[in-house]
Amino acid sequence: MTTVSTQNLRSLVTSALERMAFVFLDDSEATPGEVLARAAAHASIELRGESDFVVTVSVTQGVVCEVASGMMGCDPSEVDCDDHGQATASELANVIGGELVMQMTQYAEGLMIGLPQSLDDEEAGRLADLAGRDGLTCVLGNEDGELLVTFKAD
Amino acid sequence: MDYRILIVDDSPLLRATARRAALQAGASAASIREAGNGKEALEELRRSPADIVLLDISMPVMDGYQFVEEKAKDASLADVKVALVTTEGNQKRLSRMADLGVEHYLRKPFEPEELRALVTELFGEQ
Repeated sequence: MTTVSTQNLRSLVTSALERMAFVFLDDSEATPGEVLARAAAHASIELRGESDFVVTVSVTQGVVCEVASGMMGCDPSEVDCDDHGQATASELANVIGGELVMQMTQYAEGLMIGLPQSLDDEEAGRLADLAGRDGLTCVLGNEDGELLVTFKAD
Repeated sequence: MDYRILIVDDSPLLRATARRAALQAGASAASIREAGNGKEALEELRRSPADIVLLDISMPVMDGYQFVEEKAKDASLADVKVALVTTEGNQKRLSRMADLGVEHYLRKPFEPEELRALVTELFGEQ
């Protein structure tokens, strides 16, 4: 199974966002803790196989609006961003999890993706702490908001 | 002709995205229905047929694989075209879906235009 680096994770996340929603994010100076504190929603997804992994996503309101409106191909003013926070975090976890499975297995079998789960602030913080110690952490952002993605063996 | 389309995805955001793509491809709002998993989709199809199903794989209750297997057993649903819209990329599992008659596949993440093009293509085949 192919190993994933922080650079792989960053590249995979930015490519997915550009493709699915025309959202462009760069490395952010914000810390994971700052993004967690500002996040509108958090989600996780498990990747199960010979080894198990967990991916978490925390997203601020500005990025929720950009991603949701980008996916639907409409102006952000047409989207109820309050309503789409959890769905956006969950869909991002789903897509990023799927991309990680493909990258690690090279389109072969070996890992199955689970269903996205919503996380409360406390659980998102706990998983981010664990990934900070023994996993990968990626903080991206633009002038509108930030996105935190973590990845670690479960 | 107003094509009847059923969007099957547990994500309300994806359902909204697919609904918009279907409208842009020429479907009327009244012809588009939604289901949150495979079981709901089968119930919906048996209540009122559709021409096209846009199907996610990874869903609670009944996933897309189970939906396709159940649909294949029901002769009354034989004419319903299914297109997978999913993060799945495993070739073996996708081949199994193709064996059961699923001819169209769009892998997430996709550009919004790709989904609209897929729906337009499916309408053209009806």
